[in-house]
Amino acid sequence: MNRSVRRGVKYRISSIISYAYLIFMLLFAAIPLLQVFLNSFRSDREVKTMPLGLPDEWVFNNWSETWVVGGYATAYFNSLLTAFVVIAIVLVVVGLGAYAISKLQFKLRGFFTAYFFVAISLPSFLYIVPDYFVMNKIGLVDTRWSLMIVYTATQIPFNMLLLRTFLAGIPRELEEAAKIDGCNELNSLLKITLPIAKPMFLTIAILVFVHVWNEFLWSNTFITSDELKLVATRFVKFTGEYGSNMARIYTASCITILPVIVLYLIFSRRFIEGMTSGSVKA
Amino acid sequence: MNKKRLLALGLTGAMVLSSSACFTSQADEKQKLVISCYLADDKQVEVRQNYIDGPLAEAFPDVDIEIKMYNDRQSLQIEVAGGGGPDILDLDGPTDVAEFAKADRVLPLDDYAEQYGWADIFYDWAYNSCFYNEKLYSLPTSFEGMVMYYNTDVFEANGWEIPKTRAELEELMPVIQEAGIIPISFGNSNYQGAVDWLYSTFTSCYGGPAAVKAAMEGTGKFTDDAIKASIQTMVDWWKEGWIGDKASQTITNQDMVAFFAEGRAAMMINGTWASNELLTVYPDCNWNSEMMPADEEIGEILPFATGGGYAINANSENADLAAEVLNYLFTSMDRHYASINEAGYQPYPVKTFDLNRLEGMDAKLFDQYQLLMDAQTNNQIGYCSWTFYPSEMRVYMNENTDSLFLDALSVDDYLSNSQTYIDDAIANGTVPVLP
Amino acid sequence: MKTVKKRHVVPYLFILPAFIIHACIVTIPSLSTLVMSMYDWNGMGNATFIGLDNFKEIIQDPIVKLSLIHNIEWLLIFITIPLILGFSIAIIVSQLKRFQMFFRTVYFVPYVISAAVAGRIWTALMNPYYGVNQVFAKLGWEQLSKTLWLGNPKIALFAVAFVDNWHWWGFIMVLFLGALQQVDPTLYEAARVDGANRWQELIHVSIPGIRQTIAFVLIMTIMWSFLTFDYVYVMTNGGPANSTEIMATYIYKNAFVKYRAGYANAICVIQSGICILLYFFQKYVSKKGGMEDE
Repeated sequence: MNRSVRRGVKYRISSIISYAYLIFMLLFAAIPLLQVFLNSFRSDREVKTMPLGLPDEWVFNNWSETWVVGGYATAYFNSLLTAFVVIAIVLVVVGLGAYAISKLQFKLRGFFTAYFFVAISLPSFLYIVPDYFVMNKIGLVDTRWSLMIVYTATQIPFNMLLLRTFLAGIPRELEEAAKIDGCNELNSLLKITLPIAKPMFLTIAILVFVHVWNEFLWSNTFITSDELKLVATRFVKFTGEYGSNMARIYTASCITILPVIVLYLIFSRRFIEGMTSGSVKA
Repeated sequence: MNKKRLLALGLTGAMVLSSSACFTSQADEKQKLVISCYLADDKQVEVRQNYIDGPLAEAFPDVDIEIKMYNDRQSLQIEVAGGGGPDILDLDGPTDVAEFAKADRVLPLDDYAEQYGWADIFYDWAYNSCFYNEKLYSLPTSFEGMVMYYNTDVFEANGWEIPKTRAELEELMPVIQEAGIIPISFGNSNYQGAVDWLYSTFTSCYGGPAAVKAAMEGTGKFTDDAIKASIQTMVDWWKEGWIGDKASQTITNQDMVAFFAEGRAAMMINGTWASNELLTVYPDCNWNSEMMPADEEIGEILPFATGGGYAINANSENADLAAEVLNYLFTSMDRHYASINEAGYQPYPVKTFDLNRLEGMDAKLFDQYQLLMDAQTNNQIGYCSWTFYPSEMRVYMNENTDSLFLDALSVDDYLSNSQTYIDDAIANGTVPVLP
Repeated sequence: MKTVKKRHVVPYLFILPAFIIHACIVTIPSLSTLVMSMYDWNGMGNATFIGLDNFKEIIQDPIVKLSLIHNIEWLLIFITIPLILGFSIAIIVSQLKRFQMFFRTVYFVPYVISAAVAGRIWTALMNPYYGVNQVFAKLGWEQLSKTLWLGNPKIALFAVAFVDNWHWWGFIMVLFLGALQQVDPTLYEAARVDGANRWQELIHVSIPGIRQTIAFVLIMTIMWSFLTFDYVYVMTNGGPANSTEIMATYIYKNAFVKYRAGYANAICVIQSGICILLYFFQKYVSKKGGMEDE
């Protein structure tokens, strides 16, 4: 009796401390974001003279004007399309590749693992000029394909290694068992590994999505036609060095990140539910 | 399952659409010409529509002219290096053009210059600054200078007189400081290179244009006493807190203008381009701009610069057309006056420029243009680094001026290092031409 | 016989698509550019071969040395703080029954927002005239209210690292959280049956369960510390007085401001070289420590 009471008190104290910690970190993360949001309701002058604090006078036309001027509707479509294609390809090739380097035995396994690690250290400015040169030659510049190809390639190494790490955590016996049941490698990947690693695939999808959504150097360089521009390029239109409207910049950044947050909420909820409803029943 | 199929269908559909879209755009027969330009916000884009895009479309109905915005040098440089890029490049100015010229990425314009008589259109100082290795590579896009801005509201409220000489200014600044106001607003946290506004102003106004010119032409040195004293003055003023309140590295360019306009600072050393922002964002602020308070021996000096240079991309398939477009821009003066009058554009450095055509514009702005013209006629020209210094030297000074302020570098080392870049440039024959 | 052969081919079929795409778009073009590290080249046109001169210059360049030191300081910060924050929060959040989605979303959003915008807000927060310093002044903390967070060369690097941390730790947390949720729940049940308390569960189930992820995050952090760019570029761009100069910003400056692409490429070679060395070093260490994943 006494012992369980003490446990209860201890439990309560520790949970109070952990909630306090959570909320503290919550404020740390959220306050600057809140300021971005608030600044989208202020006038340009107010933001420039005093970037922090509540609006003296709430301005609501930033949103509508930024939306219209920015041409965000098309940009949203372009970004979504590009992101979905890239996510699809990345998930397939990275899924296969990570399965190979984490689960299968073959001679060059060490080489490939090291390759993808080293690949991360190559900064983009090393290959952007040659890539532009080649794509310009074969007529891919200013098409959606150019960005899809480039984003896919640049997203491979990190996500490959990330997935490899997670797959390595899944007991090999599961797949072996499947193989005894007559599955080939592809089948055991699809039927056994994939369902367990679903949350990881989701994480990768989100990371790729965020990248495509925010990336701007390549999209600004490779896309010139207005009707093909992505959200980030649209956004950058508002972030000039001279004579730019700061309130609009904040508005534009809200418009830019809102969909990411919404998608994150929707998808992670679904996947996490799917996950806890018990795919791991070894 | 169903949803997945739907998604797949949607994606294929979208892909087909996108590929067909790129076919239609290629089928377009019109000649296409792309002009690069600096990033602007929507208001400026709107203005540009009226004064550049619209008139161009009218003047060249058979050409599809697009103005593409860049917000940094990187994209432009990648495109040009990768064999593409816009036909007409709006570059940072002669020092920047020189790098593109060195790589044969921009065309020499001498033939076009002869064809269109460009040598007679532009002011000599601006035109001559566009030569690299004795060839013309760009045309000067605008005409600007460094001036001292005074917030007259603050001056009136405190009963201060606008200083006419350096001595008066030096006397006034401690008084301003005592009143709890920053004497000279300055900030470069978001763009370190803004220090070139300061050192260009100090070397020209307090070291003297003659000393700078001598150094560039090799008859003097950048380490000479006059220049050394001027840089020392700049450092001393910074350390007194007169320039930027000893915190300029944490103040952004936007803060700098805001501090001045809101009366947190009384003065500001800035370019003539800042007037436009002051007028549009802070219409109720009363200000005035003058040449830097004069040093007794040197007199009033206004450091000049061209704001940028239009060059023609060597990759361009329509170079002749690009030259024609450039010629149109610099000769369609009605359009140009309207753009200055109504949108606060900086004037082109062209000889036919007539101040009287600008009557009716904001008086403060008119005065400023008057100041620029007067300085030119009276030969009170100083030299801004982005037009008249060798490019490596400017890069070095832009990066290291903060080190002077923060005691991480001595004035002597700073100047002797700068001098090495002049020596290199003289040896290569790449020193800009100074008027 | 046939199946044995097939077994040999299958792994290659799996890995090759990713490898080929990446090699064609990234590695091969990069190698073609890296050759330029032996040239005097301004990034656009004709280049002159100068052998190892660029590398000789790097050895003497005090700013390369300085930026390397800053990268190491950066590494020390990032290998501790975001990992501790990310790990501890992930543990707590993973045990939440309500509001879990809310918390993880808010923590993750700083990672999503672009550095250009977040950098602006934080620069404003660190402004001595209207930022947090005003709050400190009201609280009577004289010393703090006079600190120039981004202007004092002694603290600027830490100030930027602080902001980058703000953006970064949520991402680490999401990685840990993902891994934690993958740990087999039966292991927890088994531990509970054995009478383990929460602390023991953490030590004996959670940490071993995500061991791989921890190792991965560690090596990634180490490599990324030498590659980081965004926030420094946006907030201080290496200043004031080179006090926040890191390798990536210095490379950027050489390539695009100074028009010295050849020299920038040479520093890139050094940067990549460091990453490669670190990778093999960590592989060696984890092999010794029995952490080599199988």
